[in-house]
Amino acid sequence: MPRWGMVIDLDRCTACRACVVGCMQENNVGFAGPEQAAMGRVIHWMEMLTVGEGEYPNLRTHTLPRPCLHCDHPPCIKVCPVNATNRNPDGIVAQIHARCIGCRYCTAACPYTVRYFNWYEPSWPGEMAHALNDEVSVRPKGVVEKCTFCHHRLVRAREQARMENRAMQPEEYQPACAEICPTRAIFFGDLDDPGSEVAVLSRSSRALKLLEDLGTEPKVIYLKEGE
Amino acid sequence: MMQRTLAIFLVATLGAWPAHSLVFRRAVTQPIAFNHRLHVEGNGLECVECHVYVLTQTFAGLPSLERCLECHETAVTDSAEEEKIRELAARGETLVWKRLYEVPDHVYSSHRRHVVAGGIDCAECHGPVAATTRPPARPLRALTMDFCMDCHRRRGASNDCLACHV
Ligand code: SF4
Ligand code: SF4
Repeated sequence: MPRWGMVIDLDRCTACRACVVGCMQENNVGFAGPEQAAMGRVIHWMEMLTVGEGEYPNLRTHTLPRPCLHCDHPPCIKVCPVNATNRNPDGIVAQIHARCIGCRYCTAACPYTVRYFNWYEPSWPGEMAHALNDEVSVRPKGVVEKCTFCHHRLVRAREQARMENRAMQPEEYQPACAEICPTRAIFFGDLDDPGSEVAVLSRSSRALKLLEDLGTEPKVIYLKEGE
Repeated sequence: MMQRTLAIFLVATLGAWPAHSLVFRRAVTQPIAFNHRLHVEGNGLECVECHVYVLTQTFAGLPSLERCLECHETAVTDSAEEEKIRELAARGETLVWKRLYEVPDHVYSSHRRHVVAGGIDCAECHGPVAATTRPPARPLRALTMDFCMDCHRRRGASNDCLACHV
């Protein structure tokens, strides 16, 4: 069984936010609107974090696209009282919205702040409300949601391979963010296949795991910016 | 006190009843009193000849007026129900069947996967619809999570939450 993982090359990333928008479109993430946004309730499964460095006038801003890191040892799942979030057999950290009671323990437990609570009913302006992806459910108010590595795309790729009576190839499964990135800064594949692009990149000297000392073993690995 | 306990008990038990069980479902009335048996047994039609997307899509599809007219352009029987097809066509209207079987939005279930990949017969999930002589007012099988998971267990299909809930 492949260990699906992602490598994000920060040297290639131009912070254009195509991944952020592509993810919202793919996964039916609603628009917060100005009032909710002012209260910090915007939902972004893929979020562009900014980190400032230095002092005026020598300022520099680093940007970091951040999905759920799909940790191999995820602290979020241990605290869920109803098993609404779990690490599935593909190693993907699942979020089962219909099961979630909205207690937000997981939101507090995730060290990477990737989990979002639905404070309001999702809505879309005008025509966008009719252009939702029917492979992904619309989450109701009161539950927590987060990136799923576009698991529905894995399901679709597996189904297609099965119809054609062949084995699924890892390239057939790419999350929306990886597919849309115009500079190809996001790589996706099987971390356990030593020859795969993600596995090779994850062994590079630029490879960095966020908050590695926590032992969460994230499956999203960053490649540091060159100096 | 007694009444209150009873009320709480009722709310708790009825509330826990799966919304997609057959109890409390509103009856569905179809625009035409369609006879499945006559079409299937009588004329040897396959389900997929009218539910045309079963083999290729997640949804099965309900027959369009045009599909009906392919056989019913002129009268095949003297049934008043059959006449309704041509009356609709003459008025330029469309045929709107009501959905009988439905799963909640948070459930992903693909006809193609079940029928083509799984080789499952329509009746396994839909019950003996093909043998009915009038349109059923309620689903013949309750598509509850227990029902799905039981079958998945028996057939060795995945019962991982993410396999169906997206
Ligand atoms: S990044 Fe957060 S939400 Fe995602 S698996 Fe790790 S702890 Fe859980
Ligand atoms: S908010 Fe939902 S997923 Fe998170 S711990 Fe509570 S019940 Fe579990």
